[in-house]
Amino acid sequence: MKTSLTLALSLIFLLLLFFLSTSLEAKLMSIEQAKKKNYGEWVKVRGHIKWKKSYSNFLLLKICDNTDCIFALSRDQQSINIDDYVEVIGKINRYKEKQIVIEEIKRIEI
Amino acid sequence: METLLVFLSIFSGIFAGIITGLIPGIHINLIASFLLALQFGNPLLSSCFIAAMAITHTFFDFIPSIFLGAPEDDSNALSVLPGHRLLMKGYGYAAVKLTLFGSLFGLLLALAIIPLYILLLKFSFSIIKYSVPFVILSISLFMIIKEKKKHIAFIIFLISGIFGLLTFQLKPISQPLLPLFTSLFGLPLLFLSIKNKTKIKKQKLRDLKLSRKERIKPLFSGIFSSLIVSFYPAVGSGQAAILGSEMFGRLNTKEFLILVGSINTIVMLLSFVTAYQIGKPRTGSAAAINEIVENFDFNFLMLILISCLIAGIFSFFFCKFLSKTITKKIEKVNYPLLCLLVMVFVILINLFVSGIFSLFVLATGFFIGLTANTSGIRRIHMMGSLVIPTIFYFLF
Repeated sequence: MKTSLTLALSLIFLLLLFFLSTSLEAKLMSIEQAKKKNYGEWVKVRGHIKWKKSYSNFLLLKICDNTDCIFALSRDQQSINIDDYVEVIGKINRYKEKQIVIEEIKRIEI
Repeated sequence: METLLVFLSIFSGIFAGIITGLIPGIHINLIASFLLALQFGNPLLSSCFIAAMAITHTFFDFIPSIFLGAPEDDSNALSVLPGHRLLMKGYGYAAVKLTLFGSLFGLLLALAIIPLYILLLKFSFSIIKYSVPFVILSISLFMIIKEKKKHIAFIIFLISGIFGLLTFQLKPISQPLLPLFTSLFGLPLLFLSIKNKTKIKKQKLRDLKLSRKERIKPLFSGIFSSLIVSFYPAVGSGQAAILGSEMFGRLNTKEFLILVGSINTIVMLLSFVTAYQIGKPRTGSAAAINEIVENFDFNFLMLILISCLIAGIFSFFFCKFLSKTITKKIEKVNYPLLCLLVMVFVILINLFVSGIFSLFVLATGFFIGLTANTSGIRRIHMMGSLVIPTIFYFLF
């Protein structure tokens, strides 16, 4: 098999993977399910902000739904308030316990 | 009663490790994450199970990697794995035995250096942490410079890196490492075996003679290489083995197999020590134990190490017996058909574990892997798929 052909096919599939990775969304799940995910996996959860603390370069939130609570870390210091209902997309990470490193957070009106 | 249960957990772990080691695509991390998801049983027993399974896996996973995916001939010298080179000369059994020798003595050596390793971790971890992106990039560039076809090696490294970045950004897939590694390192070799209609030569059950130097040199080189893999994420045993071989003088095929056997086992064992000492596990198994156990104290570490020792000794003898049986049968097997069945099985495992979108990852990695294999460069440049995302993680 020719190297140039396999290389060309690699690049075509890389391009396809690029479109998929920018367009596909993570599946919505409960916080209990999100906590069972492995490190580095993507999650999308919805819940109420029960606690928040601002640090110099990040914001730490505690988000709860009716199944469990999880800490989430946001690099953006956004105007999120306690009791806001939010949707969070991010990756599972670990600091003492499992937490979400937020990629995207938005307030949802109920 | 509790001692009996501990032994039962260790032997169940050994059994699970044999399964994960022998069947390509089923990794110990998969079993460990299932255990975590199910919140399975007593933490002490689960940890003994995971430790025994992880060490057993490092002994048995050389059986499929030596006996499956062999090339048609050894014309592409650099891209042919040392185990396959011996298999094609009729020494598949001897190749497995060399890795077993490396694994067992690597395990014993690793147990002996644990106090030193803990001291090293204590005093150098902060320096290591900041040097990660620079060191792993330097190692990768060093590997590229050592190639004859430097430009192809660099292209493979770069596109593997982009592939890794995109795979980790693909939101709907679980366990992204599974399709990533299966596609880069597993499927292309299986495909080439099918395409080239590889025939396995009559295998000899003879050992290869080893001088004293050939036994000792790779083990010491293995300790050095394992420390690199343990300290630096994204550095695989293949890269570390080549580095070790550069440091301790060029190793022949036999020595290289002892070296890679020792690295896998030493790295696994030391990852439990790292989890105990700094709470930062370097392997999936150590991460699972770290999560299960609330108080990872010295006594607990001792229990984990004893589980590893029992699993190692048992695996050495059982794996020797099993590879002898396989060696007697392998030349009678329709090898391309066997590779095809394994290929289909591995794809199904990926679909089941990582989901439908893993097919796109499999296809992309497959073509990158084929490019690396057909161009005759070392396959370790595809570790760019971990190196580049790790550099991004540390720098941005």
